[in-house]
Amino acid sequence: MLLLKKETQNLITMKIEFTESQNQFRSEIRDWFSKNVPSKPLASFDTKEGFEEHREWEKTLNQGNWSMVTWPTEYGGRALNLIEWLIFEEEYYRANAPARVNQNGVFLLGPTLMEYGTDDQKSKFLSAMAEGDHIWSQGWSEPNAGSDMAAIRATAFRNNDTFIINGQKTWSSRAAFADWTFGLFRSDPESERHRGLSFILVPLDQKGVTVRPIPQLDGEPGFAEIYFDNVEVDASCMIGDEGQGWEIAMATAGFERGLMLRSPARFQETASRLLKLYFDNQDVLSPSIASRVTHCWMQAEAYALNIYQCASKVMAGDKIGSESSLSKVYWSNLDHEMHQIAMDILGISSELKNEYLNNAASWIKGYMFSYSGPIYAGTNEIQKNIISERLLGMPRK
Amino acid sequence: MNFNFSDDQALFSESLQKYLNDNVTTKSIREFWTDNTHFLSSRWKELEELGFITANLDESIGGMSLDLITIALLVEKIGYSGMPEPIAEQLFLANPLINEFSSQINHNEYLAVAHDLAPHPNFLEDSKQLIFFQDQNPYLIDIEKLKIRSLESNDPSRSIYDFEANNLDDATKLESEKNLYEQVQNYGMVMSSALLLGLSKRIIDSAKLYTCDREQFGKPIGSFQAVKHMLADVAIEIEFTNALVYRAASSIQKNCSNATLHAAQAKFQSIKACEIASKNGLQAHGAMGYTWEMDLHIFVRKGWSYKGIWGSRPFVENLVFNNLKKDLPKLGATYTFMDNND
Repeated sequence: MLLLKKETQNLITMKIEFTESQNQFRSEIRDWFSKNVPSKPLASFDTKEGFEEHREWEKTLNQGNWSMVTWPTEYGGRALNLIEWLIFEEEYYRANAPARVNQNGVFLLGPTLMEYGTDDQKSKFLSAMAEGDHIWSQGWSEPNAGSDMAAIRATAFRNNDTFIINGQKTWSSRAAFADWTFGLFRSDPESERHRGLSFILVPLDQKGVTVRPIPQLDGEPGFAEIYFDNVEVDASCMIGDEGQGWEIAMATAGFERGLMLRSPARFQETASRLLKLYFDNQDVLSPSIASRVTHCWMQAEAYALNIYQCASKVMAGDKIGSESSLSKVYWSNLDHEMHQIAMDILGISSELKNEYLNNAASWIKGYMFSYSGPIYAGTNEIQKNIISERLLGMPRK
Repeated sequence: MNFNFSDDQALFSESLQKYLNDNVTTKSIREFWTDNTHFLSSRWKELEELGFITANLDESIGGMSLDLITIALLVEKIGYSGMPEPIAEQLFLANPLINEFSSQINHNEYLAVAHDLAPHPNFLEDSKQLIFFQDQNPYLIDIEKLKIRSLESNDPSRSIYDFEANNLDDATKLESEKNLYEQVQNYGMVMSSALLLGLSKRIIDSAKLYTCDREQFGKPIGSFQAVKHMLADVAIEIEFTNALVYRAASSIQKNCSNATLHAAQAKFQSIKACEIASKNGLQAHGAMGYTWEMDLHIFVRKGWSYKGIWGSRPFVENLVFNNLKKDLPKLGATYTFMDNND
């Protein structure tokens, strides 16, 4: 008992504050953004014109070496750790910098290539990705393989040094204007479910590829259907081994659900704008709005703190697995609620698509988008299955 | 920036966890219910010998000067156990006051504390002295100088009292540079948050076990999606409570000007977590959950009390809202860990 007392006397505790060098890093980024973020907002990257404007922004970021900050230095990144990444993102949203048109590439395919790619694949694809020459789309879902992704039917059969690809992908984000897509194809005709799938990269200008843009709720083609009609792809475009596709895709989905794409800063900035919207209009609002706005601000903070905690765990060598399902449900519901409140506050302006007063137009666009959060990257129902089965250990059947 | 517990912190809390697992059984809690005026002094003594009760007293008076994050972790374990003894109160409310007034207060005893946010001190009769606030000024008084009346709590594990000082001259006014009223309020909010966090974890664990075990239609009810999603919703709220509690403890420890705001946020979220844990957790137990026999209500009742005291939902929500109104320009993502004085 006395031993216990003695042992704990020089207790090193959890440190919830930034270091001096982290603060310096923050001012360095802040400085760069203040000089480089376009003063005028770019057109939406789901339009032809906006897509190219955003490609330019990717190039600008790359020139400042701020494009793939978490990539290792050998691939042109800055090897930022996750805490530094969070600081970077906080400054990114603070500066209101343009959205990342190449997020499929930089945050999903990039890390996947580093883990599973050959040296040739890395040198061919990573630098083109970083320079904004290859903008990537995702090719997972099919008309009959949505939440049940193992039901994939599109095929890629090996013919000497090539694959012959046939079938259809859908809900392929950014595919309307992108240069390449990556996805899962059935390479073993006898296989079923998770087995016999391969992870293959396909250039969208290849003969036999037809891209049919699908207008989203805002009218813009944020995703597309991709038809493959005897498309010939070099075998060097397969990542990993034949039949290893599912394993690699799961790693990619892990990155996606993880913190790279859902920076807490995004939701905290929305919460701050919501507070401003509330206080600008409070004289005509009811007490329940004040209450809901307060809850949202607290939730955005709770999300941020949780992500800092997850980042600390990863940095200490832990793996974040199914825990990311908890965040997915949390941020997507929060994002929807914040925009819903904004619509309530805007009232009669909430249908005026081009209204600049109270930033109505931007809130309306965000509200539309917030309906997609609980669906993409695995629906919230699937996430809750994962939480209950893998985290709580409840029976699958 | 590092949110991980150190090995020492983990070791210390695991050893408390082990003690609690072995000693604080639901059977022992029910035994306490049959005679609910005094807590087990033998258990108090044991925990004192193990170094837990005095953990955050200054070293000069026999403590270890442990930081508040570690203390919050210990209190979470105490919440999980459902233990009736007011260890959480001693660690969060009494010990910081004993450190400040060590010459006036006997530091080897349980010290009851009353405050507007929790005016009915827990186990007052087991304490020799009481600290209370009159017009937000702190006073110390001997129990024998008080007129006290026992009140019945909805949680039979709590032994609470109404009190009245016969004469304010019987009490000693405690002089301090600090605003002790606000300090005790903040400590109380974080203490109750840590307890609620532990209680919520206990309730979801109980629901998990029950739904994996109980069968209907030939299979465990935990295999049905309606039941799974109900408990997943609980797991989500619990997950987002943890870091808020630790940040609040850290902010108090550092005397950060946002300590009150951070404490209120932690309390709000822990109330939310315990609310949904109680609602969905009890639902998952079906009719069994609504029986006296099932142990679940030990934890639901305790949560019920601590949701209301040391910062009720409307109280903490107002605290947060008033802060937001005041500090609108300093609310973005870059301020999560900043002191407003920075």
